[in-house]
Order: sequence, then structure tokens, then C-alpha cells
Amino acid sequence: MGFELPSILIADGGGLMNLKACLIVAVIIFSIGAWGVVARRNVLTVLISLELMLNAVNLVFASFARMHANMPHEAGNATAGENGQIFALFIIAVAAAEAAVGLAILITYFRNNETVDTRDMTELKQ
Amino acid sequence: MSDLAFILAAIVCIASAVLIVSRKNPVYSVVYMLPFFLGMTTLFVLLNATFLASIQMIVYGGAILVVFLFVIMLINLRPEELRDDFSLKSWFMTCVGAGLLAATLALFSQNGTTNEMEKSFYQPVAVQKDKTGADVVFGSIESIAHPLFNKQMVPFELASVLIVVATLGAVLLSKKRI
Amino acid sequence: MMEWIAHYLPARDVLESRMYLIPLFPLIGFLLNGLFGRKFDKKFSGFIGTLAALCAFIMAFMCVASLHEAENGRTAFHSSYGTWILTSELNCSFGLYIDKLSSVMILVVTGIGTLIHLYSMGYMAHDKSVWRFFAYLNLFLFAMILLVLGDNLLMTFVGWEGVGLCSYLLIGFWYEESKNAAAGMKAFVVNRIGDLGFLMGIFTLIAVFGTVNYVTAPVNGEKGNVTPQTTFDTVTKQVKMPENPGLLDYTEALRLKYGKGEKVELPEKAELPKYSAANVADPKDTVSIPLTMPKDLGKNLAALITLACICLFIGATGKSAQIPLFVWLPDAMAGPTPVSALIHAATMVTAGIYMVCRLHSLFAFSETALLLIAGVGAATALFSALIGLTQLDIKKVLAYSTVSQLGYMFVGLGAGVFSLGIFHVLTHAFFKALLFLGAGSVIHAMSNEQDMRKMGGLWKKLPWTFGTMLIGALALSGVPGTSGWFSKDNILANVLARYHDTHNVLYLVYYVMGITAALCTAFYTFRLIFLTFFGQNRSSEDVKSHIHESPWTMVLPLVVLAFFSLAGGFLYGGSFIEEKDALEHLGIRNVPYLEEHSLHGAHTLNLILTGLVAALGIGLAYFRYGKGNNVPDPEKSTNIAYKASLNKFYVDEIYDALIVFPFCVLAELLHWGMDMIAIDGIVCGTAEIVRNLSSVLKRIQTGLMNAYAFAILSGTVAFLIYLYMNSVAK
Repeated sequence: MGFELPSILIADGGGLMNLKACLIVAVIIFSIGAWGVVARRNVLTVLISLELMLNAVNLVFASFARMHANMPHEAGNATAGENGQIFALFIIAVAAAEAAVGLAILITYFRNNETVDTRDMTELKQ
Repeated sequence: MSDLAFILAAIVCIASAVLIVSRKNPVYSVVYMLPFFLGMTTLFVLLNATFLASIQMIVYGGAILVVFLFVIMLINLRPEELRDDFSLKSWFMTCVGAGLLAATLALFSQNGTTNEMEKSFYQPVAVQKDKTGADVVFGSIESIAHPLFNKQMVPFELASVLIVVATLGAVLLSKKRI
Repeated sequence: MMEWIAHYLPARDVLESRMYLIPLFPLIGFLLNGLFGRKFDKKFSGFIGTLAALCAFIMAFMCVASLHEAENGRTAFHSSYGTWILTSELNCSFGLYIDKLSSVMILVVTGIGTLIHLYSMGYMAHDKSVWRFFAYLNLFLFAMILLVLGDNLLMTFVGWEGVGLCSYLLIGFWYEESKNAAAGMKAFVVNRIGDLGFLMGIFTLIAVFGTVNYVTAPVNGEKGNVTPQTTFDTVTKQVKMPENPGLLDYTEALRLKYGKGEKVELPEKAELPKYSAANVADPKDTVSIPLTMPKDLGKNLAALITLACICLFIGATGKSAQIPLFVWLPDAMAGPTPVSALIHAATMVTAGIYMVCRLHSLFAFSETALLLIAGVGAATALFSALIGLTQLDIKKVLAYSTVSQLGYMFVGLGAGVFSLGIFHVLTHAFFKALLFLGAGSVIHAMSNEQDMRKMGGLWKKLPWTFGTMLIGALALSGVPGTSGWFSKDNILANVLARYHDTHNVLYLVYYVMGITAALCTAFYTFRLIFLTFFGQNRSSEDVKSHIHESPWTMVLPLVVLAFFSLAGGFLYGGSFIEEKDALEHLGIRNVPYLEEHSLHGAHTLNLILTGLVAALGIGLAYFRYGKGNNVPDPEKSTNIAYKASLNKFYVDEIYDALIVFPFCVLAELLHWGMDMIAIDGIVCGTAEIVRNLSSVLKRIQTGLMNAYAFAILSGTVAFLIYLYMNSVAK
């Protein structure tokens, strides 16, 4: 690696930061994001909250990947923990794609209906 | 010291999350996304996922946030169209959900994780050696690239296909005349 | 003569195997007329119908004639055409069985059937759906042949139901008038009530004996088919029964084993020996088989047989129009006259008597049942004779006369002389069919006028009809020498003799009722003759000008029947009247007398009485109506007895109030209570519940995206909680 991280950002264990804490933080953020999806009327806010949820999930993946970092490796498998981070990478990619497409749909809808309020979007109603 | 960083980053994340979902004006929501992403990045770094942290900042903060902002500008809602969301029923449901969350967290913090799982967090990350004898730094770009281009080649390619499709889709969807 | 004919007949085996042709011909006639009759012209459909009946008659005649010489001790044809019911408890097949008893019936049915088909060709010539008439007539003939020739009770029941159906179809033939349709319905429904009794009787017999066959099936021996009989070996003192015995075999075995002298004392549970069918007897090989007795029906064989007989007799009351189920017969006169002649005089109504005679050995066990039969018969005879005294419609008089004569037949059966009952069936068929056909001829001549008050003085214009009807009336009244005298007089003599024999006062009561009914019969018969044919003609000018003698197709049957009414007694009486002759010629064993000479004494007294009564009846009728005076006028009469008799003693009204009205009330109640409220409530209620539920549930689909997201979220949370609970529980 080219440069060293400042020591404040190097977690070397034996402190507050452990798996449980990370997961609790992730759950809290996820719940906040879920609340935003369910309870907000503005579609844009809903989409933003969706991103929030995806980020929380990313945090969970990264924490579990860290958990695997020091676990004894099987022979020849030096990258057990990186699988979690790779998956988190994919989630970022997918989130980006989904945000783009979702916003495109929103723009088209807005062009036709002049509203971004979910209470006015009731075409699915029987 | 890293505890301090962790706590600060966590507080920043949670606070900006609350602020994101509670603003009436979506522009404000987007604005508060930035500290959120920064906090997340810090958390990732603390978790030794340095490459992931950089990608997170670049993609989320640099692309997605900007796209959201563009779309909000495009939609161009006037302030009086932003009606008030909250009613008594939804406050009630929120409290119910919050209580559920609190209960879950309480239960979780008692017996959510085992000692075996926590063990790695109490030690620094050791540098391992891979097959060829070179150093493998956890979370570095090399260590991510190795599986990504060997074992996880197919998801990688599929992700690129997905991005192409999404690009085309977004362009197609938002044309005024096809 | 029969022997001479028998020489020219085909071999017995051929005839026996072709026995199915007898019912097949009328069935083919029915199918032809039924399916294609619309396209035939009227003469042709009549021709087909009559030809079918004639072919059946010829075939029956050949079978009967060939039976006349008993070969290998066989006096019956018995063929089986496939298995019908095959269970562990009951074995029943489609079979036809001609023995001496059925030969009498089959000749009557097909012979008179053919004559009436011929008559109908003339009578129904102007009707618009002649093809339907002949189709129904042929179907009736088919069902009646099945009834008479069936070799087990179920085949007889099939025919029983079939003739009931055809009676309904034919009574309501002119269904455009609701009166006729209602009469047809009445006949069918009342018949059905009787059929319930019949079925109960069959079930009781199945429970007691385990079979419905009359006789065991024939087996192949070396010399052709042999029907094993139940016999008594005087050497070994053993009763030999064939394998798979029928009802008559069982009863014969019971009589042989437990008859003391001639009086049979039935045990509680009968032990009957069984032999193998080859009739090769080895006494050591006998197996004792108790008759099947269900535990919960009680163990008394005699009581069960009485129960079965009474139930079967209830069926006979329905079909043969006895009290209380006779009410359909007078209404059945709404049908065409040939129908009345064939069905309600000669054939269908005699089905009950045939059934009793077929199971005569069963009825002979039960004195209670015989007393009941005789009682009902006598009561019916008297009751309907009293009604017939005042009726105005010519066909109604004959209808009540039929009911009365059927009562006589049952009196004969109840007195134990089954052969005389059948004999009266035979003679009654002759003269009653004659009277009905003659009445039809009169109605035809009077342009469908049936009221006797408007007739009169027809003897000049309708000589043939008058002559034959006079002969029929003489036979009906029991004038000595006619066939009716041979049968009716002998029945009454036997009733009196039975009284002398058993000193049971009931028989004396029946005798008195019978004599009174004979008086009434003579009176109303000749009242009919005098009102119709003598005196001044009381019809309108229009009708008077159209009076003409009927065509030859209608007169020929009249002449034939008149001949048999006169000569039938002399020709056939010998086979029926004397007990030994009855046993030899009919295979029927009448209930014997304890003292030999009781019959002789009764004969003389009875002869005097019946002669007196007949003369008195005719004399009274002549005195009152003979000079063409005293035309009945119901409005002017104030006599209560007269009014009651004219209104048939209000039987229909009583039944209406007592039975029909409660049923209608019950039906309405059930309709509202069960049908509308309960069942509709349940069915429509279920629909209502579903509708209400759906209108509540459809509010879930708001179309709001937030709500849907919430639903997904809460579902997932719930599922995770569930998983967590499960893992914690472990």
C-alpha cells in the first residue's frame, strides 16, 4: 500500500468496536431507511431512503468480512474475508444502476402526471 | 482511539440518516446524504475495507448523490407542493416500529453474537501470506482483485452487463420521444 | 286339440330358448311406433301394434301348447338370460318362466291384448296421435308379459312398475285436458303407495328366505333340462330340496316337513335338508341348513311370513284397486275406452291376484293374512257395488263394477281357493273387456257421449253391440250357465264351505257381504243395459242422426269375447274348480278342507241363493228401468243414501282432507322452512359471507406504494421473528 492510514482509523481491537456494535448501527440505519420508505409521500425521499437501506446492508457485509479476516484460513485460501467486501462492491454497483433506472422512471412518470406524491399514484388500485 | 472514531462515525451516520428521512424538501435530504456517506466511509475504513471505502465515496457521493440532485432540479417542485406528511396514525405506527426495534436490539445485544465471532475484532488484522508467498493485506485492492478476476469472474462480468443495461434503460425511459 | 297342435310345433328346446320372443315382439312394436310413429300413417301404426301383439300371442300359444304334454316330468319352461344381482346375500337373474299358472295369464294377456289392439284400430282411427297410443299399448304389453312371465319377484316387480307407468301414460293420453293428466297422476301416485308395501314384502322375504326366485333354476341332466322339485321320500322319510331353492321350493319343503295332516305348523326356526342338484340321493349326505333369520326381527317364522304376506297384499291393494287404494280406478276412466278395457279390466288390475296366486303356498301358511285378504276383498266388493248403483256415466258404472269384481277375486283368494281366484280373473277378463269394448262402441256411436241419461233405445240401431253387451251383462250378473256364474258362484260356495269348516264367523260375514254385492251387481248391470238400450232415445237430434253400428274391427272382438263369456265356463271350468284338477292343471294347491263334505252342503245352499239374487237383481232393474222410465235425475232426489252413493261416499273428499291436505301443508312448511330458509340461507348465505368478506378485504389493495412496501416489510419482520422464536426455543 502506498500510504499508511492515520492511527485513529486503525481498529486494532480491544475496544468498543466489535461485531455487535457494528451490526447494531447497521440495524438502526436500516430501520430508519425502512421507515422512510414506508412513511414518506414524496417519491424522491422514498428513493433516497432506499439508498440508506442499501448502505446499511453494505455495513453488515463489511463487518462480517472483517470477522473472517483473522479466522484461520484453509490451505490456499488466503482471501476468505474478501468475499464479503466483493459482495458489498456488487451491491454498490447494483444500487447505482437501480437508482439510475428508478429516477428515469420517476422522471417519465412526472412528465405524464405532474405529481410525485405517492398518494396520487393509485393506478394499481382495484 | 479508534473507539472514538467509531463512535463519532456512528453518531454522524445515524443522525444524518434521521435527518435524511425527515426533511420536507428533498434537496435537504440530498444534502444530508453527504455526511452520511462520509460516516459510512469512515466505518468501512475502521473495518479494514479500504478499497470498499474508496469505492463507496466515489460511487455514492460522487455519482448517486449528484444524480439525485439533478433529478430533483429537473422535477422542480415548488415549495407549496410539498405537503405535510405526518398524521396521528403514522406517528402511532412509528412508535410501534421504534418499540419493536428497541426490543430487537435489546435481545440482540444480549446473545446476538458468539465469542468465536467476536474474536477477530479483538485483534489487529494479521498479514497473511498467499500461495505465491507474497503479502496479502486484508481489504487492499490486490486482495480484492484476486478473487474478483478469478473465482468471482462471472458475477463481475454480469455486474458490468447490468450497468450497461441500466444505462441504456435509463436513457430510453427518459426520452421524450423514442 | 292341444295334442294335435303340439305335433306341429317346434321342439321344446327350441321353444324354451326362444321364450324371450314373447316380450320382445311388443317391445319392438313400441320402439318402432315410438321412434318412427310420427311418420307412419294411422292405419300403419295400428297395424304394427296389432301385429306385434299377435306375434306375441302366437308365440305364447305355441309355448303353452307344447307344455301340454309333460316331458321328463317337466311342466314348465324356464330360461335365464343373464345375471342381474349377484351379492353374497341375493342372487337374481333375468329369467322367464312359463308354468301352468303363467300360461293361463299369458294367454289372457296376449289374447285379449291382441283383440283390443284390433279394436283400437277402429276406435282411435280419428285421433291425431294414434302412433303414440299404439306405442304405449305395446309398451304396456311388454311390461305385463314381464310381470307374468318373470321367474322371480324382482322381475315381476319390474313388470309391476312398468304397467303402472303405462297406466299413467295411457290414462293421461289426452293430456291437453288437465283433468286427464290429473287422473293419470292420481293412478300413478296411489299405485306407488301400494308399491311401498310390495317392496317391504320383498325385503321381508329376502330376509327370511334369502331368495326372490320362485323356483330353482333348471339344470342340465342327461335328458334335457330338468327343474328339480322338492319331494318327500317315503322310504327315508326325508324331504329333498334342490340346490338354490326358490320361494316355492322352501314353502313346499316346509309343508312337507311340518305339515300335520294338511295343517302346517311352522316352527320357530326351520331346519331344511339340502340335496345336490343331480337328485342323486344319499341320505348320509344331507346337510341341515337353518333358514336365515335376522336376530333383531324376532324368531317367529310364522309371524314373519304373515308380515311378508300382508305387505305383499298392500301392494296388491294398490295395483288391483282394493280398499283403501282403489280411488284411482274410477278416475282412470278419463283415458280412452280400449285402455279401460285392457288395463283396468283384464290385465293390469289382475296383477295383484296373479302375484298372490304365484306365492299361494306362502299365503297358505298364514291364516291371518288370508282372513285379511278376504275381508278387504269382501268390503271392497260391497262398497263399490253400492257406489255403482247410482252412477250416471256408463264407464264409471263399469269401473266400480271392476273394483267390485276384483274384490270377489280377493275373497276367493282369502277363502283359500286360489285356483278359483284365477278362474274369476279369466272369466272376468272376458266379460268385463266385452262390456268395456261394448261401452266404447256405444260411446263411439253416440259421438263421445258417456252420460246414460242421454242414451236410450239403442238396441235397434246397434244390434251387434246390444247382443254382445247383453251376454256380457248376463255373465257379470252370474246368471247360471255363463262363465261368470261358474267362477263367482263357486267362490261364494267356497266361502260358505269355509265357514262351515272352520266355524269362523268372519267367513259368514264375508259371505253375506258377497251375496249382497251380487244382488247390487245384477241390479246395476241391468240398470245400465236398460237405460242404454231400451226406452226412448233421449239425445239431441244432431247426435241421433249419427248413431251407427261400429266397423268390423270393433265388432269382431266383441263377438269373440261374447263367445268366451258364454262358453268359457264349460270349456275351462274343469281345470280350475275341482281341487284335484286345480293341482294337476295349474300346479296350485288350494287350502284343503278339514271335512270333505262341507263343500257339498254349501254348494246346494249357495246355488239357491245366488240364483235368487241374480233373478231378484234383474227383476228389480227391469221393474224400475225396463220400460224406459225413471231416468235418474240427481237434482230432484233428496234421499241421503242416494246422494252419498252418487258422490262415491265422499271417499275422495275424505282422502283429500285426511291425507292430501296435511301433506300439502307439510310440503309448504318444508318448502318455506327447509328449502327457502335453511338451504337457501346456507347457500346464499355463504355467497353473502364471501361477498362481505371480499368487500372488506379489497380495501387492502389501495394502490399506494407505501402501503405495499409496508406489507412487504412487516411480512419479512414477522417471518424473522418466527425464525428467531424457533431458534430460541431450541
